[in-house]
Amino acid sequence: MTSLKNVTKQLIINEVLRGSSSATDNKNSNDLNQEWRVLILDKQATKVLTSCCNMQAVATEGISMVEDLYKKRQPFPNLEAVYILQPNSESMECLLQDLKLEQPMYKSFHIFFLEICPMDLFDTLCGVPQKRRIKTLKEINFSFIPAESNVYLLDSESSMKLYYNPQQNDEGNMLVELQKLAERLATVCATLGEFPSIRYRAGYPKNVVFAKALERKLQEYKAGDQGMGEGPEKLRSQLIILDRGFDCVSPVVHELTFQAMIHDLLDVKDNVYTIKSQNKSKDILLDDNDESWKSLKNIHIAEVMQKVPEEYKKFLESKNIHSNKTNIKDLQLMIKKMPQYQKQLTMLDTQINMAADCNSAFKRIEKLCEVEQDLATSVDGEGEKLRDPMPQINPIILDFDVFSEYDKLRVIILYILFKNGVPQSSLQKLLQHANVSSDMHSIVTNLSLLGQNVISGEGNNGNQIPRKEREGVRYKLSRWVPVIKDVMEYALDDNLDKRLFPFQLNRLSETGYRVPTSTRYGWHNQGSLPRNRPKIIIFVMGGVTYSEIRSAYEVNSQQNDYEVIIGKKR
Amino acid sequence: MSRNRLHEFRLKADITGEKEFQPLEPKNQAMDNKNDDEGSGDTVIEVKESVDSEVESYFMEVNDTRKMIQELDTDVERVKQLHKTIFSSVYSDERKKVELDNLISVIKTSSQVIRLKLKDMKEANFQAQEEGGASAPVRIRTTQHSALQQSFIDVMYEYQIAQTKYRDKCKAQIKRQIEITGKNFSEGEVDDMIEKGNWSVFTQGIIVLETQQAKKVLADVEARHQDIQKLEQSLLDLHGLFAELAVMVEAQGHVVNSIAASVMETVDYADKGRRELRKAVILKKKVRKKQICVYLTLAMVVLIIALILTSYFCGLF
Repeated sequence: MTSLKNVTKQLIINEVLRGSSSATDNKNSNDLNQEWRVLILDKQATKVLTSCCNMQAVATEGISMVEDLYKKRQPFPNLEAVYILQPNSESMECLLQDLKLEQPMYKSFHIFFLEICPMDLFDTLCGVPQKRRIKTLKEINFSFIPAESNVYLLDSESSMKLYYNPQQNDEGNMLVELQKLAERLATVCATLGEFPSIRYRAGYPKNVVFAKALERKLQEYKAGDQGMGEGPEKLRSQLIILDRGFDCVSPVVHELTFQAMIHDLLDVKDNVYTIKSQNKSKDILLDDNDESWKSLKNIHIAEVMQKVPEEYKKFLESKNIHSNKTNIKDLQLMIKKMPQYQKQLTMLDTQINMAADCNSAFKRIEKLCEVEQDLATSVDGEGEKLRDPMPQINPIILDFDVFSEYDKLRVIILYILFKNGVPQSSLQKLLQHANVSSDMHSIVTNLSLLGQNVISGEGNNGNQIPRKEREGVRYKLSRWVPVIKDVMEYALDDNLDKRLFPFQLNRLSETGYRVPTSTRYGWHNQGSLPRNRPKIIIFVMGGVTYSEIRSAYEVNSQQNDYEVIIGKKR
Repeated sequence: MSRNRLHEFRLKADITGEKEFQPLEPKNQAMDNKNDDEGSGDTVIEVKESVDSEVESYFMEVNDTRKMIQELDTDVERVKQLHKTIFSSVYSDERKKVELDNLISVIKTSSQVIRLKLKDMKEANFQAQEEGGASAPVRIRTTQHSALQQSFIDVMYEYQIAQTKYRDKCKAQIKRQIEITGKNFSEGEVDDMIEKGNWSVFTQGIIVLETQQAKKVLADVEARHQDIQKLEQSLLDLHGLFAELAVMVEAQGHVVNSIAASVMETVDYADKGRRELRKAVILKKKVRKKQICVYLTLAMVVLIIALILTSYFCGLF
């Protein structure tokens, strides 16, 4: 499977790190006497690089150190500099500062833009005193963060507010922000070499505006690279734009898979989780490079709790280590005895710790999860249709020891969505009983901006996507299936409703038509040709949840025909 | 995917003769600049050059170490290949075994050398850190050191995996061969035999058989057993190294390797002049404090003398 991370990493290393060194004269990248360079990153570039490379990889390519573009840096007139930055006014200002100095800051400058550089900024660059030292000037079209193998992020904080703002006064700002997002989303497609047909959810009027903006950007990129989106598979690729209103339930329901739980219930910062044992604390990076984490993250916690200790035991047995107790102290002793197994053991140890932390956090919310599932699916645990959920909701709302304000808000939101709007008076009563502070009320009432009915009879359409019937629920507390899974599966089967999800411009080569050779060799054997799969790229304005990411992986593993790539705006 | 705009830039920026553009030219320009504003620029450039030469020599060291790690890596790869060929061939090839033994001893010595080198670098870094804080040369040092260390850890980890895999394979083969003799042993018994090298149970069975083939099997098993013992020995030799690596891994963690963390570490560059200035300010403060102390003691002495004198005179009258 083409992992988004690997693609980007290769691109960074080949295009940027090796590309800039061969520009100076030595073609052989393995030459040890390479030029040493300083890598200078702006905010966005730091995020992009952090997500796909590590210091070791960068240092091996001849980078002496990494610097922050915005800080005052020590000049190194004997070293070359590699800049990776976004062509915006703030970052460009810093770059120009360096280039304006009388004394050269660095020996030469290799500049890489993450996006297409606008003409005005390009022109200012042409007039700098040190322009002769600029040896490389490239647009690498790369302004997204590859968060996981099939997940990308477009980093934009203000767009959510602007996109769902009901007032028209910020129209200008919103359009600027949409342009920016469209640019970034287009770089995702460009990196993947895709030129997909754009579809959008018709339920929210701004989606079409965004779809059009994106279409224009894609045309721009296509003009720069004719090969983009060529090939029989790529003709069938789609990009689906969704607004968060298509499914308000998934973000609220507690998801009980490992990754989602860690992020939801435990304190994780920038994918780093700190394990606190008796006296020491240890930082764990939750990263796809860790194979065992990758295999566990989308698994239900109940299975994790079973699987991890089993693996642990198996490992110990295979190495002839016999220990009845598996607490941390024994482990440290063991590691001292057999340092060569340290890596595996600490990995297992971390997972046990994390699973235990999750489990204890889950104990607290177990009851809440049950109610949430009932409300989300409108069916109770026994499979009966849910009629009056109030008796279950009340104990949670009226509890003040176990459940937090946010827990209660989750239940209230789910109740409102279940009822498709409640009378004003009962909403007030609910919030009052739950003792939700008044500045938090907007969390509930603003749901109507996403197209949901908060107060009954608001006349919003709500969710119209027909749900799929699914069988074989494994866990009572994980019955809810994110709507996105249905959308993805409809799209894969080519029966995603064209009224609900119209095309911006249909480039699909006649729906249903498939390249003749492919039918003969069978689409079912796609496993042997993993690279050439049409892609479904999904973008959710307002972010996706871990449950939705998990659904994407599930759909991916079931379907060989398509590769789903899901994206969010953080 | 990417678009090169250098040509466009050079056209617009009106840089002619780009092909002949000499990297040396700007240096001359810099020299000119230096000559233009003599005096003020002189000291700054001197400072920079000393820093640069220091960094340069450090880069040489890094390159040397990296080369060594790369060589180690190729050695480890060779060991892996040898393991494969030894297992796939029917006859035990003595030459291959000798080569393997040689490689293992080479890895042993070179890994120790690299370890010491990394240790030295680390100590030097500590020193530099205490002197220079988080200045750029210090960061270059720490960045390079941790990258090298990580590479070293990776290679050694590879090696260790290869060795344990080979050992497991040897064990499995011995087990199979024992089974061929027709006697059934439990897992534990076999393990015990391998560990102690006690073949009595096994040889008994074979003596009864007393065939040419059985003898050959026994010889084979013993050879494998020797392999295992050698392996155990080599892993034992490296035990200290692995223990140290374990500490390194523990200390380094994942987070050091993160680019974002590295960027966060950067601090604004304050050139040496400014640092000197700060030192001067501190010194000046110290001097003033001392001055005040001296004045105070002087005043006290005068006071005491005056007191003594007055009391003396008072006593007179």
